[in-house]
Amino acid sequence: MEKNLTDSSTYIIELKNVTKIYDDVTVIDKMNLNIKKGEFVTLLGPSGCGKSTTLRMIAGFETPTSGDILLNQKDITSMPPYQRPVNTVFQHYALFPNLNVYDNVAFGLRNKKIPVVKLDKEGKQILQIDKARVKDLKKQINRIKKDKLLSEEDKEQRLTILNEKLDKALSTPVPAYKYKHLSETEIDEKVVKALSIVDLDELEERDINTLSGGQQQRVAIARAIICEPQILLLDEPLGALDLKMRKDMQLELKEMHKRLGITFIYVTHDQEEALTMSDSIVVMNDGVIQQIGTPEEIYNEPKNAFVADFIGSSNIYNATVIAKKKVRFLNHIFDCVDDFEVNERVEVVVRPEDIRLSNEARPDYVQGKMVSKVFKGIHYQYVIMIGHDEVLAQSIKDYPVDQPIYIGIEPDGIHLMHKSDNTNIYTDSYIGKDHCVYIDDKPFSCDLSKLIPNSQVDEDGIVTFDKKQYDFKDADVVATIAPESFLISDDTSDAEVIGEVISSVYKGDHYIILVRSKEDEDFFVATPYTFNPGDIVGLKVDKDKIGLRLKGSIEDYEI
Amino acid sequence: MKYKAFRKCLAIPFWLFLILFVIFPILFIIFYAFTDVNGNFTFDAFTSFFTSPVKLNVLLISILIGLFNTFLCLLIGFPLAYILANPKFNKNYVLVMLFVMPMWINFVLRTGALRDLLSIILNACGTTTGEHPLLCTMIGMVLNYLPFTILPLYSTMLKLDKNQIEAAQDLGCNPVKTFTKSIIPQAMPGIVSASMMVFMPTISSYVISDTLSEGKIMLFGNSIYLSFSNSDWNGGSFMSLIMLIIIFLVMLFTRKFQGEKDADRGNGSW
Repeated sequence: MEKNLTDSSTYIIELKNVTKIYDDVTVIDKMNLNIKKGEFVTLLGPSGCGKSTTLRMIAGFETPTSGDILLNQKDITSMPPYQRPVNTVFQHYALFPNLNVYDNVAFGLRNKKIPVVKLDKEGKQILQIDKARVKDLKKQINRIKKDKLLSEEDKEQRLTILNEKLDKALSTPVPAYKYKHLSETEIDEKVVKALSIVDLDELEERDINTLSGGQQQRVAIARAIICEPQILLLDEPLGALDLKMRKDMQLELKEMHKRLGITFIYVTHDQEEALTMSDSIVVMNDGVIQQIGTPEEIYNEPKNAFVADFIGSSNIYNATVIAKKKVRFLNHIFDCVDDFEVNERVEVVVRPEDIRLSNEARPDYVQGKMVSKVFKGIHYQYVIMIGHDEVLAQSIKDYPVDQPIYIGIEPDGIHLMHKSDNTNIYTDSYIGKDHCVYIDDKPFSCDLSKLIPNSQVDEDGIVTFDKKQYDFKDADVVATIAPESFLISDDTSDAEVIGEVISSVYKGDHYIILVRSKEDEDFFVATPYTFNPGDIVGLKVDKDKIGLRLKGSIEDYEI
Repeated sequence: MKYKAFRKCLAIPFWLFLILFVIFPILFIIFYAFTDVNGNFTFDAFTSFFTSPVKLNVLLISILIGLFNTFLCLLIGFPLAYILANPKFNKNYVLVMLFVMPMWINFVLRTGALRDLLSIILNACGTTTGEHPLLCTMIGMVLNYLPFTILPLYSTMLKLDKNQIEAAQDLGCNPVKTFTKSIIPQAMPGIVSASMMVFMPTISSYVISDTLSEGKIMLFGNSIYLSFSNSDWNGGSFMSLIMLIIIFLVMLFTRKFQGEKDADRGNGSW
């Protein structure tokens, strides 16, 4: 208990049960997140996963539909952005074009007011009722009253506490403060210092529009850090820079974080950026936190297939634990380190660099066929087919294409994950020319607007969002289909997939059936009807029921 | 070579138009402004204008009413344009159309209708339009020029950078400061072109003040019109010349504010 207490005091910001709903769409679902003082935390996830919304709620631009945001254990949920000791570096910088570099940087300081104790004529402190606190408490009471997601009991309890606090604030006078602007000399001193932190000493008088992208970026950072915020929020700040600039800025930001010692919360969809800079990474998807951990933990011990697939290229297979520390996938039994229950259906992640290659057969090596080879500078990247499964591998040695090859995996290179549910996740799907999603090289008609939340799609398959158009032809995607979305029948004439029933498990009111296609792809299907192992069945999916997520950056598909 | 010559020929209609309808009339105005009835060169019109306190007074009042009208139109038009530019309130542009539609009706008709409406209202209050000439003129002016304010403001408001507004809030601006430090500077090109659209036509307008004040308020436009209708072509021309010079000066002044890259912003809608 005592340990918990000390722990919570080191958190600078805490999100408690935060939910955000826009027009009936849940963007953030009951999120709990604690961030320690001085940490460099990255919110990582695909576009539309809610990471930017989370950041905007911390900055104060959005108010959560339900839940609390605490800053140093103080509720700031209903505090407007201009009162929060938090500053943001915006995605497109959002500099003020009517001001020059100096005035842009000084902007925050000129609005800042320093509290000075109010004294009466005899030099004694004046005691007054704290009006700001009363106002704040009233706002909080209002917010709790309006919260529809909170249970009545909780509401009642919290309202009593707040009302007590309000009564106390109304009855006890506290020392009064008056607020004073900073003097121009103080401002000047700080501006010069901030500009030197971002290496822009000589450019004070320059017009914003004459600066390069990298310089504008630096001005945006200087403008945000000059107010000495407790937390610096960065919303994909490097997105508009070219690759080399981005790499340099990543290191510089990291360096700056060390020097300033303030908490950084960084939002990005670039996993490499996240791995390079962060002390800890929060991986998000669909408004839910998937995993929180250090870069090493996230990379080496992904908690589920989503994290494994999103962080770095990896091989993910459905597998079965067949004995203690033995797992079967790629039609072979491998030794592994993770101890899972026997007969559990699991997912296996193998990083490409953990795959050993060999020209000749060895014990415990699996034979496959080398299909492609790409030179990547320090290593080659290979694609090897084993049956119908693709294996991505890396090696510094040169192996010939179209020849048999043998692969082996060390036990500690195999990472087992519990299957979150029976949702079918197909990580190597792509969008074809006919705007269908190809799962296991079979076309399924799908709704492409699912790739970007709140977008529209026209009959030519062009997706429109925020006045920009995207053509997702040949895009690599991850398709997800819930088991109950499949229509299963004996009639295979108009089926999208034909396969054989492998197993059937009764789950109380429905069966979970495993259907394996001729191409060895597995489909979990929920159905109220019985099918027997060995039956040949046809599967169909309604196009609205296929979930899609883009791999890589959305900008690549803009037209 | 042939092609180049042909391309030059394409400019002929434009130059013809320019000479016939812009340069010739200006030369005529200058000619009449500095000649007498017999066509002899003289400074009579010049001296009679600058020595007549009545005429100078009319110019001053016109400028003041012009400024006042610009101020009122901006005061009403700015929040309206801000609301119209918000897609929440203005689905399908219906509201914008409602504000712009009156412009499609001839303004003499509109002003006549307004006079009748105002006299009905004022009569019901026990007074007449003749007793409140300034009030009636200002109502007429604002109603007539409001669409001209709203459109340029609306088109700049559509382009307001939300990130910049949020950045201002983030850097400690309360709602009032956000308005003065971020929204106004961003809307400046729109404000400038809206002011131009209102200020100059107001000075030279004469139908509105004539109809609504029952001839009690005389604007510069009225006095130019009167000069010509009294066959004082030379005096009228000189005053027109003054008008042209004012327009020229205002344009020089506003260009400083607008900057080249913003020229297409507010004026783009026209």
